[in-house]
Amino acid sequence: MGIQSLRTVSLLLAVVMASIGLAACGGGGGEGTSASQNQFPPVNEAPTSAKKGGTLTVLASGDVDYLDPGAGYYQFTYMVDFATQRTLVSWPPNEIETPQPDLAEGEPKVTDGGKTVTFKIKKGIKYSPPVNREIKSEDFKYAIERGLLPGVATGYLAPYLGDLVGFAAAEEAAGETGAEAPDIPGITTPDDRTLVLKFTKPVAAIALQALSLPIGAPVPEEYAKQFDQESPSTYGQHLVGTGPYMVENDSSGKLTGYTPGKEIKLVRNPNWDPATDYRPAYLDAIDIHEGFGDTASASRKILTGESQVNGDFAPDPPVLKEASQKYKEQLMLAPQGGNRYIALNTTIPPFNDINVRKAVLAASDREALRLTRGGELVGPIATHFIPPEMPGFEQAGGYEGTGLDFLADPGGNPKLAASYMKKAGYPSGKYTGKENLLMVSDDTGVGRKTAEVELDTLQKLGFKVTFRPVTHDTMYTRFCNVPKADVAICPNVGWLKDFNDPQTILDPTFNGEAIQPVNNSNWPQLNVPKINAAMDRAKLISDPAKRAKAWGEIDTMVTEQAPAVPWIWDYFPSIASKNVANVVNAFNGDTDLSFTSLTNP
Amino acid sequence: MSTGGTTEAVAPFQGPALPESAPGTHSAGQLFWRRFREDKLALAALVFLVLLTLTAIAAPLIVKLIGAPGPNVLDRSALDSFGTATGPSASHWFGVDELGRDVLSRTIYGSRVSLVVAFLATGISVLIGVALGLIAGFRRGWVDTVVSRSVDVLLAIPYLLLATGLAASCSFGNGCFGGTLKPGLGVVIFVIAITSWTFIARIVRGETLSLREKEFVEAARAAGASNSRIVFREILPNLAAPIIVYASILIPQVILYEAALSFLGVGVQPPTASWGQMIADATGVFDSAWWYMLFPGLALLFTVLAFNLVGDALQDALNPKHRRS
Repeated sequence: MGIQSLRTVSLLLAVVMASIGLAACGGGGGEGTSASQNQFPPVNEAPTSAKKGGTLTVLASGDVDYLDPGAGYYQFTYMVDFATQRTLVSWPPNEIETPQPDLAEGEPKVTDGGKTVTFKIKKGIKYSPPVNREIKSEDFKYAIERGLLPGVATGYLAPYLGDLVGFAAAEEAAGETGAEAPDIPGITTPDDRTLVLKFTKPVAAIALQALSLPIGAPVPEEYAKQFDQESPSTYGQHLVGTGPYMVENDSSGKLTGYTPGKEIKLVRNPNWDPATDYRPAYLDAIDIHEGFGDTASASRKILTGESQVNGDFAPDPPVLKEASQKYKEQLMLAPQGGNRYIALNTTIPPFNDINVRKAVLAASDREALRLTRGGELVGPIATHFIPPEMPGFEQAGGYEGTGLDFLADPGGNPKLAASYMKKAGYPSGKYTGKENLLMVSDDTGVGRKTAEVELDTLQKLGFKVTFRPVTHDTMYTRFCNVPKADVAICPNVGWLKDFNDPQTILDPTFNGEAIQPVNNSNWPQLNVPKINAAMDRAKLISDPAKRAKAWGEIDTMVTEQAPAVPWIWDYFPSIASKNVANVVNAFNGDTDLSFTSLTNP
Repeated sequence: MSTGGTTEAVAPFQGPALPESAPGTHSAGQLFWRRFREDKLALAALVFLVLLTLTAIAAPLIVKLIGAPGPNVLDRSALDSFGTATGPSASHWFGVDELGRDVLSRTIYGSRVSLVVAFLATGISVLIGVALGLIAGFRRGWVDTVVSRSVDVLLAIPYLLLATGLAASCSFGNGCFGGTLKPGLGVVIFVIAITSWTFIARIVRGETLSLREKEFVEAARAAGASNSRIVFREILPNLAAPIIVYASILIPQVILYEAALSFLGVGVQPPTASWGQMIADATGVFDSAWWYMLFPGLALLFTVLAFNLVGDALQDALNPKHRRS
């Protein structure tokens, strides 16, 4: 089964996003009873006076993971994909709940009680050069099927489209033949403009959302096949698409505008027809400069007008402070649709005792933890796991939470912590056992600061902690993702949604059946049969209200188990220079290149 | 035999290392102190180091006396609403770091790490260097070849890289060498010691090679003294001056070495305060929180400078032939 490798990639998303502080989504509107108001709400619409033309410069610290839409799984990659790849359904910058028809003509038809989805494909959409031909329904079938190839390995395919008829057999076949994309019988193309997806379970709602991700972009088989025969596929270096922009290439299709880790150069796609698209595409070209490891100076370059927009990094607290005071018009804080928490390993004594875990949660100073990232400015303090503006958030208690005493005081409550320690059998109110607990954190920057704050809390509670700061990758791949490593505390973990559904937040992280020997993302290793069963039931609910309620209840069940200290639902700070009308895509939580414009091009 | 007695009388301090101190005028110690005293700058440095050592020893008491919070006390109320560090104030004379910890008390406690590493790592380096240098120089032959070639090989290794690698692998998980070497101060001292003994070994070997041919050693040998007696009673006392001089040169190097390792994140583990680590933490926020780098930086600067001044003065006083003008 490919679940393992698929999870690896899906984990990468969370890992990389969580680490660098990139993210996905959040809500545009100021609805809801926000406990702490976002002082710099993002602009999700282009100004009516927006002008055409000019080149936008974007700074990034790292690179995209893959330009191939079948493999890309970072927020920053999505930023590029959203400009170069149109998908069946997609996200206008002010939309986070339901993806809108894009290459699909009108709303897709859901029939058979949620087991069948039928798309009509728009007419007259052409690929960028050198393919130039019109798209057809077979291209979408191929795009999904090639995702099973080991050389492409789409991270989110199995979790969200794994119930397609014949998926398991196709997945196995892909492993064997390697180069030939396997047939998934559940995807059929009655004619060039009709695409039908058949599922064994009523999972249409979640599948539809998944098709808004880059996997929902068409791939021309006759052109891509030669590249897909290699492993990893080299289609990403010969990328074509249907978006308003394309990566600069030569007449054979080979990309000339992409130097990994250095530069991505986007130019207009001559085959894009604005009449078929909702994107205004003001800019003539976009230059993405990568490799800015010193994010503080990169941020300052943007704020002072030497460069224009940040791509993948969050400015550090001192720069954020400066921006919020001196460059107010140039800062936006996009809700991320994610959470950050300190995972307590529920299998390791004394954390296998729920009262000890509750004591840790009660003692934790979440105000101090939030200050390590920039304080109130960067987001509300979390009281549970489903982030604001996601279905299930209100059902799980909204900003206030469900009134659990051990999460009631954001500044920590040492007295309550002591009483829970007493309940756990430590009459002094402090831990007096012999266990030495391993805590593995980031060795630099904000992550280490967060860890040191929690370390202080734990030591005050009497725990003996071995503190191991390591590089961010090592923290995940050698410690926190490996149950055998016996890490008791992972202070730098968190999860970002794949799309606006609470399943994408809770299932990979707290479902006992999701625990893996490697690449594990259920960091607390929470395995409560009642919760696992509730999740399996909730996955099949298609009615939005019932679904939100079910997942909201699961969130509460998880939070009651005190498997982790949830401490922030943070925003992604998007900064721009003065001459940029920055538009943030609410779904992706980052600049939308197809809507952003220059004030004087 | 009477010759033995004579040799003993001559050997300890009136050997070839200090030929000027003829018997009957001053003892070597007095002479040394008289020369050292002339260097006023070195005297000031010495006073500084004594005070620093006292500060390090009495750190908890001093921090309490000046009313500063402990080095690991996180005080979020000392941060502003953005979570950024605040500068010098009445309650925090040197300001606080990004976690709200008092920079003054961390600087004071940081001296402990620097001095402990300085003295222990230097001490171990000297022990290893002297032992191997003595054996190599005295036995000569294949022992000398093995030791000398090992030193050559070690000197060819980029020591900071080796140390960084070693320290990094020992700072990982349960330490290295089967858990015998735990991360923290021990690793730092170990790594510095095993990469710093080579110069001392070379010098001691060279001195030993020449000393073992001297008349008083010949005499002792003729008198039937055992090898260990010759080494410990005849040769070693004559090595005292070069050993002291080179140890005093090594100390400031070791302090900087520790700071470099901590700066690179493979030194003393947090939350223990160390100057190198404080400087490393401060680099990212220097333009908004200068105090965080300035104070540990000055402490490091003055400490290393003081050791260097004292080292120079020691060298001059113990080895007048090399006195610089």
